[in-house]
Amino acid sequence: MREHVPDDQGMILVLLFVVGNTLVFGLGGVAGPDIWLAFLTATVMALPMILLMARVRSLMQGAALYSGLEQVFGKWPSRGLALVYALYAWRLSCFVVSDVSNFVQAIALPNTPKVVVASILALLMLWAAKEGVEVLARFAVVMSKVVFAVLLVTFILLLSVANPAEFLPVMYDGAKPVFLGAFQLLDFPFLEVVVLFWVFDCFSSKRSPFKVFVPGFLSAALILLVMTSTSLAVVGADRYSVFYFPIWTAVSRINVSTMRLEAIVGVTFAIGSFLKMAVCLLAASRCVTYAFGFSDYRFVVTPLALAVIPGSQWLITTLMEVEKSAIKTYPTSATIYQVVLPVVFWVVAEIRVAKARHQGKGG
Amino acid sequence: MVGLVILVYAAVAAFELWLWAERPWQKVLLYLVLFAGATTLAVLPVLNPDLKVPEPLGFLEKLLKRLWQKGGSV
Amino acid sequence: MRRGFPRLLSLLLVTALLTGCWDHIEIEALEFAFGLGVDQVEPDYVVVVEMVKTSGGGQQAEVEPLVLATKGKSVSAAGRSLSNPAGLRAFWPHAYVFLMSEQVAREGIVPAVENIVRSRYIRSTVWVFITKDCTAEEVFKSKPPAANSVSEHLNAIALMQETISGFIPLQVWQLSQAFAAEGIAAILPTVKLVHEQGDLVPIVEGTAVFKGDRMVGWLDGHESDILCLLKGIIQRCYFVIDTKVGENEFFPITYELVGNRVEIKPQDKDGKLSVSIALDLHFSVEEMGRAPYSFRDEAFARSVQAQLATAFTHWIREFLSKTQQEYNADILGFGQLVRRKEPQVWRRLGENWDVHFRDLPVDLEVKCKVTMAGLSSEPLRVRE
Repeated sequence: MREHVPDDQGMILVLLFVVGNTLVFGLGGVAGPDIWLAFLTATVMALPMILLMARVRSLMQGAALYSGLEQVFGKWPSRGLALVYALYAWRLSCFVVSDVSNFVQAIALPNTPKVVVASILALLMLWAAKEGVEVLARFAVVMSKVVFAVLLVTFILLLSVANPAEFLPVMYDGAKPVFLGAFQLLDFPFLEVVVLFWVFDCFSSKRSPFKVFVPGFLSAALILLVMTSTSLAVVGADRYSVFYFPIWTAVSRINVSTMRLEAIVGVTFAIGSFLKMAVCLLAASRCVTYAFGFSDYRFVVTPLALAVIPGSQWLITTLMEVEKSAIKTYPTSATIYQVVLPVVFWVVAEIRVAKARHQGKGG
Repeated sequence: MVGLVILVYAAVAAFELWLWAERPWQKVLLYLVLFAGATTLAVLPVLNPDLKVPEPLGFLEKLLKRLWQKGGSV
Repeated sequence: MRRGFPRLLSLLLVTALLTGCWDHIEIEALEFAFGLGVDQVEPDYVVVVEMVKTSGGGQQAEVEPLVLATKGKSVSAAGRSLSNPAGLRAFWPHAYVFLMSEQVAREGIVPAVENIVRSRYIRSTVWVFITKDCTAEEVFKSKPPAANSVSEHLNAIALMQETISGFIPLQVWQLSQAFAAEGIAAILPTVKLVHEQGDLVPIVEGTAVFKGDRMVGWLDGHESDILCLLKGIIQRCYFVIDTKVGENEFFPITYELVGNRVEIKPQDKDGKLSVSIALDLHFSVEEMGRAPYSFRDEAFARSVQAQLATAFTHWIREFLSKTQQEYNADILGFGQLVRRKEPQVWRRLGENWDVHFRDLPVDLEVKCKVTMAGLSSEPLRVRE
């Protein structure tokens, strides 16, 4: 079964995946007033990795994911790799579910057990993942209009209470905070894009991976840069890193008569998070089934989704830990999954493809 | 509580298996293995609330830290 | 059948579980807490709460304020324990005001406000006041003439700041920002009680000046207006100035401030730091009394503008010497400005900013302009 996602829909999917649940957290807080510099640095640092992923996909000559992988890496290495990434994608979806259930508990439903919220989310993403990547991409396109509209309106309203002087002085404490902030952003959310590598089954053309990943990632980075910077200008550089949910706090400053905008911003967060966890679940299912040599992945979605419920409660239990997981960088696991493996991946792919081409010419 | 959790998971598994149009044994096996894993995951925290999160890459982290410190002292 | 059934089942599950059953509260069991006050921190916290009991429903709903006070080990613990004597659950998201007594302010407000800043139940848009010459309990027990409760009364005043003037209102979120920022001292508006036809009525006037989290002094209403001017806050205050008209006649003329532009710049010349303030004020003439002059007379207009500039320069100088020498509290945020515009200088002076701020030279340039004279250009003529 070949599942085909058009370029523009794929791009939106990448965009919403990166924006996803990122918006609520106080990302890059260590950089203080230089947060925008941290974002730019992180974007520049992440871009080569994104290009690299797109390049590997385009080396597969537009073949579907599994057959393409086997062409490029051989059967067993790619299966092993899939299993490793299944674990990563599953863990990520646990994190996202846990973020949302903790957020809901902190903001709206203090007495509702988190397991209940997590179970409902698991049920929803189970459904979405069973529908497949085509449906998810179309869902992303429809929902992106809502997300963009809400973000645009909140951005304009936030400008009315923002104070641009909060960005001064530039680099008062030197370059170190900027880089620390940039590394926070690389780990989560920028390089989590590796998960998406496993989600797209086939593309329209050989150039498509570039058209999907690069603009999607860049526009997501821009949206995050703009939203976090304006929030910082609203709540103040000294306070930004103190809040668990700075954007939420910033939006609560806006008064449009008696209407409260927080709830609407919560909607964008919900959409993004839902999409992200569904994509992660989908990736995990695809990787597992591929690793065991099945071509259909839908039948393992249910057990994996049901495993996310306890996983989300177990890996991270409190709001404090949620924040830590969002802000702290996990140096080893992040480097391995997000940098080392993709690079190895790419080098092997280049060599094998070049060899194959050489042999093709020779024969 | 543990019994209830196992029961719910088993019920869901049985229900979904019943929905399948055909049941090749390879698929059923993988499905059941994964379900068993999910159930274990759900049961473990109930039995032991302070269960540590495993760190399969923990040794790497320690190794790196040691190397780092050695490098610093030289 | 096989496809439809699980969908139906999951829909039913979702509808059953998504209604938030765990967090529903019966509205009859709630008592709205409108105001919170802290009168004492050491040795025990003394906490006052103004709650509002509603009886009846719809158009005939009657609202009755109820003031309860208690002692406790912390603000939140004492506040919550008040649900016990009240017999109803206190509902915080509708709180309007938070009051602290002078004693609390002098001892440092952090222990009193920490809970308000952190709490999930209290909105960050609550107004914060310091009570002057009275306690929070006395304020809550006073009788506002129009509003149902003191909290609503104070909320209404805070919202009218632009026209009432004499204070700068501040909400919890701004407070946390003001206390966290480097190089700027915090201020809070003050509430006091005045006699009005036999009743004590709370009014908001003046400003409490802080250094760190401890209050160091007061500014009166007029000084607060000057502070507003210098902070660039739009406030349509009235200034009554004895204006020289003609040869040697003085008339009290009332000017309304209709526009103010401020530019404060730190200047670092040869290692000597100074601050320059350029003020551009626009006024409208509101009341002239018997003053027999017309603003069509350009010479007169020029003379009035010059007199205004002199008066404001004088007031601002007084204000600056009070904040710099007497209170030594940088409420205008010169330090913050230096840090932002001249980070190198701040690196050098930041640590001993108190000392440098005390003798910081300030260049002042005030320009005043009368842009409107109400609807009539000529004074009111009375036939002899």
